[in-house]
Amino acid sequence: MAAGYATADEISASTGAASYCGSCIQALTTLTGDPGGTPVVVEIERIGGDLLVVTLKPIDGANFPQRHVSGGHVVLSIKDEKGWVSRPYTITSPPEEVDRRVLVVRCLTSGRMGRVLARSHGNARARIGTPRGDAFARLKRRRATAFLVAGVGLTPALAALRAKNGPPVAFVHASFREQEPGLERVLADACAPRNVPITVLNCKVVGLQSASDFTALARKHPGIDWFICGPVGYEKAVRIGLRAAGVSSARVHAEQFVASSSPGDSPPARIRTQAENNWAKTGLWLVAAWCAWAVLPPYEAWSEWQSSDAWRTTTGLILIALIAWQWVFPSLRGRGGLGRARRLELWHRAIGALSPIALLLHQRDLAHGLLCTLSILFVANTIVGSLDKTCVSDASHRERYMKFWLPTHVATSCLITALSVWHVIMVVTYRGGAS
Amino acid sequence: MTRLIWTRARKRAYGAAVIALLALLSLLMWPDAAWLQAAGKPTPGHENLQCSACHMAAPGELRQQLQASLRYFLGLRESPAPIGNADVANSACYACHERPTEHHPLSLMGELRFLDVQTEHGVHNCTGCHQEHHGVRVTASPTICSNCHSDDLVVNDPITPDHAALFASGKWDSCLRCHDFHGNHQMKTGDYNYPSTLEQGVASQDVLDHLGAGKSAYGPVLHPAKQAVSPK
Amino acid sequence: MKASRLVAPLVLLVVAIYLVATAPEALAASSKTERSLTTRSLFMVLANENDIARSLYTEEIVGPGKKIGLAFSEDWADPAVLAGPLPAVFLRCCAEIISKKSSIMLRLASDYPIELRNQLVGTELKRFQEMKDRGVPVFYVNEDAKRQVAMFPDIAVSMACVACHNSHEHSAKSDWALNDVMGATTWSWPTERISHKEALKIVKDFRGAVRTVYSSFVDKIRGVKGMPGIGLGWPADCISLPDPDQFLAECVKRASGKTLKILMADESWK
Repeated sequence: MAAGYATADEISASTGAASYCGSCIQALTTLTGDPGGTPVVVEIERIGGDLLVVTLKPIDGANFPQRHVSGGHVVLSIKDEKGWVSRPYTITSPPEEVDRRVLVVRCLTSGRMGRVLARSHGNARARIGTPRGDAFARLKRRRATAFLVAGVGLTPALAALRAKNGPPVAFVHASFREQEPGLERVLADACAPRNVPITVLNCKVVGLQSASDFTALARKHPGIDWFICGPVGYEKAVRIGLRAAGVSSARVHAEQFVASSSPGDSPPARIRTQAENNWAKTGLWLVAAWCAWAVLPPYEAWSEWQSSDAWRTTTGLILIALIAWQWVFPSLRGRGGLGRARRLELWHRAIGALSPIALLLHQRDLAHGLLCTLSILFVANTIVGSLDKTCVSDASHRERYMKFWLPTHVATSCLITALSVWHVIMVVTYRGGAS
Repeated sequence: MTRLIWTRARKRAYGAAVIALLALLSLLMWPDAAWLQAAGKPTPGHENLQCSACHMAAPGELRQQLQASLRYFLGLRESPAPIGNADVANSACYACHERPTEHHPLSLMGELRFLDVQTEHGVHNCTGCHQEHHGVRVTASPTICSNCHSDDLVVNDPITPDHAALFASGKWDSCLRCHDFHGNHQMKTGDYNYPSTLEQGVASQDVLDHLGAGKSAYGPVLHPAKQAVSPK
Repeated sequence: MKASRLVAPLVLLVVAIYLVATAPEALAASSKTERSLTTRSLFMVLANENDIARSLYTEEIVGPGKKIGLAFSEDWADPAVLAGPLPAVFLRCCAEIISKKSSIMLRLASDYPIELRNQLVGTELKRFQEMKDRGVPVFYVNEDAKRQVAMFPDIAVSMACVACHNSHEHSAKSDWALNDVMGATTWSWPTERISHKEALKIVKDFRGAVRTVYSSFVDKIRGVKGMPGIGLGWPADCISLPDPDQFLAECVKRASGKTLKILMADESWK
């Protein structure tokens, strides 16, 4: 910038930043405040679900000043309420098309670019940077390459299929988590002119592809190169599978889509997993069961059984252990042990969801005074825990929600812990009648 | 593992927790809020009692008590030592409720021939039938009479139906309609010290209300409790 | 070594110092290690005190009292009944009082009681038979209740006892004779030994109970027209009753010698 490069595109061109993976492009855009590049008109075609085909044409109707190579990528920048948002995308249109650049984008509304594109109307204005990169640089043009792609990772395959002088494609093996008719159609249309065999798998029907599936596939097609593009887990499975089939790493190529963000951006909002969702629902149902118990008349036999000292001591100790255990996760997380903390997070949710059962077993009735308060706080905390940030899908709303949720959850947890300790002291030091 | 990282969100969260804990501490230390710390609602008539009226300090200081408990746990001591406060003894109840006439004195309830009933119902302690913090006068079952009186034979039985018939039909919940347990109420009806028919006695629901937290069903008290305690 | 790894051992060290190294003297336990009296000796002392109090009451209060028109009844506690307690009832009232002050238990029972509640049953009846056969008090342990028990014979020492029991409408036996074993006075205590301090406290409690019960009787008749005077010339004048202090002083005077003898003979002094 001191040398006079004012836009992100200029800095990228001069330094090479964002030319490899593109993940720092947003940082550059935020830093400079100007993405640079060619002003374009954005045409959006929704091809099903959250998938868009984005066609970019220069505003002035002229051709793009630079051609790209097949397998290259370009930075698309659009303005939103916070400023410019820039993301790199693989160009799927052939280099010969100089008047347009076509991108295939999965529009996730949990991401900033996704939200902008989702809101975009026809002929929105954007900027497109200088094309960079060459994902196929290492491919030998004399050898056919099989494209193993998953989800929106098929864009390099499209780029290869559509380019006149692109690498020879042996076949395309595409895996999609759900039925993606839009992507399948785009892929089939690209394969048809060159008669490239294509296999499309719907993972919901056949299951996720494992390493052994790719081993079997590699054994059926010796002597070719392999190009992988998809989520990290998919790529890992493919690499393991190919290695097991004896494919040399020199013949395995990949393009990874790296998340792009900067300190000014909200981090991508993590979506609740199925397991987390199930535990949250379990917790809420158990709270409902506890509320029903609190309201209904007591069951005499249960009441008598719960009156025994041995039972109350045992269930009390279980409750104390549960409460103590629940502090392990935030303690690890607070000390930056994110890896271990993440593994414990599901346990934290599970124990929290199941804790009303432990409370039901221990308490005979709603008691009185501070004991009643402890019970209510305990159950309320289960509700609060079940309604954590992952139930808010929008990232900016999530940030606002966390400002209320975290202090509530932490304060309630601290109160529960303190009241539990108080309760234990009272039980030990205040005894009933002599036996 | 590094030390705790204090992000702004974490500071806000734990700041809220500190405020909540300080509020709790103030509540625990406020004398007028001592009732909040009780294990349950007070027995009717005990609303104005302090905790120390029944919960006397255990002998020794805390360290001695902890040490004695540890020694008991390790088998080095014969008997456990209470920590903090001693068990609630009958003497705490007698401080207010001692009376010259007592139909079921603890000296009788404590006799060795009633060991089974003592073990099962704790009748040799006031708290066996009158557990505090339940918000009711009596926590024992109204049919507890059957434990000791099932073999009784009343000679020249003046009541209708007679006691034998009532025992045979298992109507142990009817005892308290004519007999107040401790003999602290005037139950005289005509020439007899007790009602001679169930209808002359107290209604069943009134008995249950009395055993709970309801209105007293048995008329004037012969020997009131020494400290006059009245509801707030 | 990382500082965090020292925390747990440090905490344990502090707890050990607090609880063990600098701990004050241990709480006294009811244990065999303390110098103490055998419970048997305590029972014998109490039996002696009981015998003296009862015979004094029976022979010098109930007997003469009846002659001058005093009534003695089981219902003496009824405010409408102007009567004193019968000797057994007197003792039962003492039992109620002392049971509130400590774990000592006292019971009067018989194989032919007037009140069914005083019927001897089960193990008690067996031990009673044993006592009658051997003619000496019986000492045993009730394993279920974990209590030391002593059973002393109640002997008909006076015709007043015999006559009253024989003529009572609810009496199960009507041919009692002088010196019959009419029943048993049973004492029980939780442990095999008892500290001297606690033992003397129980004796003191019993004497206090005797005074309290007698005092309740005297308070009932004091000032009532036709009732004898209290404390004025007793025992010389043969028409007044002792006041509570006089009554107790006489009990103490008669019982103390034997009480001391029993205490001195206890094996704890050896």
